[in-house]
Formats: sequence, C-alpha cells, structure tokens
Amino acid sequence: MEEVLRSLGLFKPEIALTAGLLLVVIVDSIGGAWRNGAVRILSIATLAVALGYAVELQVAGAQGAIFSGMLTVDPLGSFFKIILVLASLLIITAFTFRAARELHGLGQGEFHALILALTLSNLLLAGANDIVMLYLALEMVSITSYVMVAYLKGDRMSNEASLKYLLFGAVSTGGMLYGLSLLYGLTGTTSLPGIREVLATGVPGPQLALYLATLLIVVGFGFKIAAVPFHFWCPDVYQGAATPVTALLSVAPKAAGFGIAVRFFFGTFAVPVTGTWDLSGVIDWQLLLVVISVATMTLGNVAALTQNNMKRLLAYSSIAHAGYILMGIVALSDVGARSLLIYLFAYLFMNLGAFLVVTLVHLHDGTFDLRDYPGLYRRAPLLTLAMGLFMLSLIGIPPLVGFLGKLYVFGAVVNMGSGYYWYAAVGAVNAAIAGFYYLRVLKVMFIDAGNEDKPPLKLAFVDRAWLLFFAAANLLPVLFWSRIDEWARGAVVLYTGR
Amino acid sequence: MTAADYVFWVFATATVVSGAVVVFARSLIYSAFALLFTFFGVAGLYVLLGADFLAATQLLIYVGGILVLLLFGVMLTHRIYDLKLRTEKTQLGPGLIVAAGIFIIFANAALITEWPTVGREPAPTTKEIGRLFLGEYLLAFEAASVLLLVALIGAAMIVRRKKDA
Repeated sequence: MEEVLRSLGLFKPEIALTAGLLLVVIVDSIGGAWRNGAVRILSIATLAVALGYAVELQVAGAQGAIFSGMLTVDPLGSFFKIILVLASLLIITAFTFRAARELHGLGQGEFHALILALTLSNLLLAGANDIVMLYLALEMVSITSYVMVAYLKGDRMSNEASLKYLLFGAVSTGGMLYGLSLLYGLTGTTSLPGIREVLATGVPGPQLALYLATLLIVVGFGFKIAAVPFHFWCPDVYQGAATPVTALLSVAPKAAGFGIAVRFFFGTFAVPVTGTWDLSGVIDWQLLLVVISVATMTLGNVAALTQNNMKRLLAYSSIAHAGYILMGIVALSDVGARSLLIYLFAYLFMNLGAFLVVTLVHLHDGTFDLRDYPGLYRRAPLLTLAMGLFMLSLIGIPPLVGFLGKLYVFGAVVNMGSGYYWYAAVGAVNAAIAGFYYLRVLKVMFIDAGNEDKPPLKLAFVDRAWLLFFAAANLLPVLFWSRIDEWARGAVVLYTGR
Repeated sequence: MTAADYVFWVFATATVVSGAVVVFARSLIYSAFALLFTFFGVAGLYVLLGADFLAATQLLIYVGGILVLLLFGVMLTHRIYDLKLRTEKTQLGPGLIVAAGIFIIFANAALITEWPTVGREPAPTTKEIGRLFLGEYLLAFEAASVLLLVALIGAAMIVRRKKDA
C-alpha cells in the first residue's frame, strides 16, 4: 500500500491523462450542442496539466522505480514524457478540428478520447521497466493507433490503411512477444534490471535462443519506429489516415518507441561505464542496428525521391529520419543518447510544421498532390515561406533546428572511433539525397508556374499564428542552444535499478 | 512415455489438427466449430503445464463466451451458408521452405538451450494470481482496463454509421 501511495506521487502526468480521458468520455456521452467545444477544452487542459507535471518531474530530477518495478521514473523518461505530451497538445491545438478538412462532420469526442489514450500509452511505454508493462504499453499504443487510423469511416483508404496497420502490427508484436517469452525463459525474470543482471553473468549453454530473442524484440521496436524492413505499413497508413493523425503517428509513437529502445538496449543489454556503455553478454546488437539504420535511411530517402503525394513523401522522409535517430542508439554512449533526444526535439517541430502546411493546403485546395502545389508562393507567401523553412530544417541546413539534430547524431557516431567513420559518411550522403526531394517541394511551390486562375489562400488568423509558431520553433532554438543542450545533457540519466 | 506424455500428445494433436481445419476449411461454419477443439486442446495444454487458472479462464471465456458469440454471428448472418471462402495458395513452395526453416530454427533453439528450471510441483495458482494482480502487477492490471475502454470506444466508433456521428 505504501508502495502504491509513493508511486502515485511520481505518476501524476499519467493520472492526469487517465482522469481527462474518463471525463472526455463522460462529457461526450452527455450530449448537447456544446459538447464538442467542451471535450476540446477539456483535452487541451488535460494535456497542459500533464505537461506541467512532466516538466515538474524533469526539474525535480526525480528517479526511481515505481509500482513494484513496473515503471521507471528518471530524467530520460521525463524528457520523453515532455516531448510526447507536447506532440499531442500541438496536434489538438494546431491541427484539429477546423484546420483538418478530412475530419469535418465527424464526432470529436472519440477523437479526443483516443488522443488522450494514445498519449497515456506512449507515456507508459517510454517508462516501462518490466517486460509485462513493456508489452502491454506497446499493445495499447498500437491498438489506439489502429483505431485512430480508421477514423475516416466512409473512406476506403482509411479503412484499408487501418487493416494493413493491424495485420502488420499483429505479426510484429506477436513476434516480439515470442522474443520476450524466450528472454523470460532464459533469465527467469520479467524485470528489465533483473534481466540485465542475469545477462551480465552470462547465459549457460548454447546462445541460439538469446540471439532469437534479441532479433524478435528488434522486430517489435522496428515496427514501432518504422525501420526497414518493418516499414511496409508506413506509407499506406500515413496516406490513408487523416492528416492530424498522420502527423501525430509520425512523431509520438515513434518517440515512445525510441524511448523504450534506449531503455532496453542501454539499460538491459549493456552495462554503464562512465560516459559510455559496454555490451553485456554475447549479443552484438550494435552491428544489427547499424545494418537496420543504414537500410532505413537509404531506402526512406531513395523511395521518397519519386513520391508525388505529400503524405507519402513525408512518410518516407520520416522513415529516413528514423534511420538517423537510430545512430544515437548505435553510438551506445551518453553522447549518443543526448543526440537522440535532441534529434527528437528538432524532429517534433520540423515534421509537425511540414504536416501543418500540408493540412492547410488541403483545407483550402483539397489536394495532397505535389503537382497541384505550383504557384503557391504567389497565392500564400507566408505558408510557402514557412514550408521552405521546414524543408530546409528537415534537410539539416544551419542554423535551423534540424541541422543541430543532425550535427549531434553524426557527432555521436564519429565519437565512436574511426571504425565508424563510414557510417557517418553514409548518413551524410543520405542527407544529400534527401536534399533532392525536399528542395523539389520548394521548387514546385516557389518557382513552377501554374494555378494562375486560383485565388489567394485566405488563411485564418489562428493558422497564420501557428505557422509563425512552428517557423519560430525551427529558427530560434539556435539562439539559446546552450540551455537546450544543458537540458538534454541533464536528461541522459537512466535509472537502471529495480 | 508416462501417462502425462500420452495426454500431451492427444491434446497437441487435437490443437494442431483442428487449427489446420480452421485455416483450410472452405465453410465458415466448419472453421468456427473446429475452433472449439483448438480452444479445448489449448486448455488441456495449460492444465498439463500446471496453469489451472489459465485453463479454466480459457474454457470460460474462449469456449463459453467468444466462440458462442462467434457461432451466433456466423449463423445469424444472412446467406452465410452459401458463402464459399476462397483460400488462395500463392507462393506455396517458397512459403513452405521459409516456414520449415523458421520451424527448424525455433525448435532447435527450444531443444538445445539450457533453460534454467525451478523444480517445483504444480500447485494451485489462482490465489497467487489474485495476490499479484493487486500487488506487484497492479499497474498492468489497471492499464489493461484502460486498454479495454479504448477498445470499446474504438469498436463503437468503427461500427457506428457515418451519418449518426
């Protein structure tokens, strides 16, 4: 009982989200014309409170295991909680409901309930410290995502996307569950710190089962972060889902997946030495992740070159970014973990910004096709300039926030020693390839002629404000970079006890 | 072979054979009834593993609840008897090779690994499970209830027609 009471004090963001979720469901079922506004305000308030609690945890630097070792609270987890809650908050405030044409006329209650549920499960996933909790949280994230993807009920693409997502998800989480059960069988414990202790002393006899377990667990994580070769669902799902959902899926579950991956690979499959981590046991997962990372960034970038649908283009681009972020895990050092955090921070703003532009163009022109984008500069200068900024940030042009993210991950890889220089070089070549398709979007919007007969886009004041907000979030962080760097540095504290 | 081994093979065969019928049957009704034996077989395997609570739940929830619901759904659906399921067999050769390869690797892993085992007689588990749900695994237990709520919301949302939204 004392354990539960103690845990609740460190569990405030999740409690706030659960309470908000229940309130939204109740308010929505009361009915009445005012309910749509009410659930929206309620959701925003819930997320704001959860964000406040997450920041409080981060500032306090709280750490420890809660709920009998089910979850961990540590600065790393708090960093992810801030990013995850912020992503949901930005989606609800900037994207829905007015700006998202696809969602017009659909019920708002369930949408907000689902976003809160997704946020809650993301938080649980990022803090999981036991394979029971890890798997449960992963399933919660997945099931909520499937439902959100199917939100456009009358739309065949949306239903197809949801079904594909479900089938891929079922197979990969099933594989992961098998891997986790092998790991449990080998170590006799479900607690991640307990597993690390057993692995550190070594598993007797043939190691085949251990290799299989690692491989299958990588499948599960790979599906969540859309890494090659578990990325097949990604373009179709991103295209079929409503754009706000796509934007959220491209950031939040991915960040949560990276959060648990760091915890798993650093905290369970490695042993901390000062500033760096050593592989424990015989599994060289670093090599496995290098291969996956290189394949992910290369395939994502090359496939994005020929896309004309903006949502598909950004889907492949997000696959490529997952490849870069994996570099931070492969580095297996505090520097690597910090680079991953900074990249996710940057990615949140540049990717959501790009998706906001796509949403707004669809709101006014009803198209996701890049071939309908010519002449946009003349029709909506602010929107086009903002898009320019997001694209340059996604390429990694200084002094935008995307550059800083790339600088840190490549730096972390170079830090590993000369044996990994080629890996950083592959990343740099990939960044150059990515430049082609991001710049192509800009060329179409700024230079290409067309759509002369269409009137200028009349952006609402709120939309302009949000575009400026995201533009500022991409442009300004460099000014107070030392503080962000300090924040991320302080956040690289993993609590690995029971 | 001991008596337990014989019982194991009976249950394992029943599970695998009826599972194959579920997949390959051309009529939905046959599949649904074959599923009955699959669930029973799995429940029997749970008993042999000493998981008495799990076996009872398997019978109560899967056989008694989900399967009956499934059968009702199948039987009440209009013209379901005429429906011929088309199970396509594409890429049969490569598929068989990959499946056999995976089976050999996993079976090998299960057989050669030195599993750390606890020599313990099977004991009733229900009490212990109840204690763990409200103790060590309290959070997982509560999180599962949120998951069920979300699944409920999602199911209601997907099934409802668009115009009532």
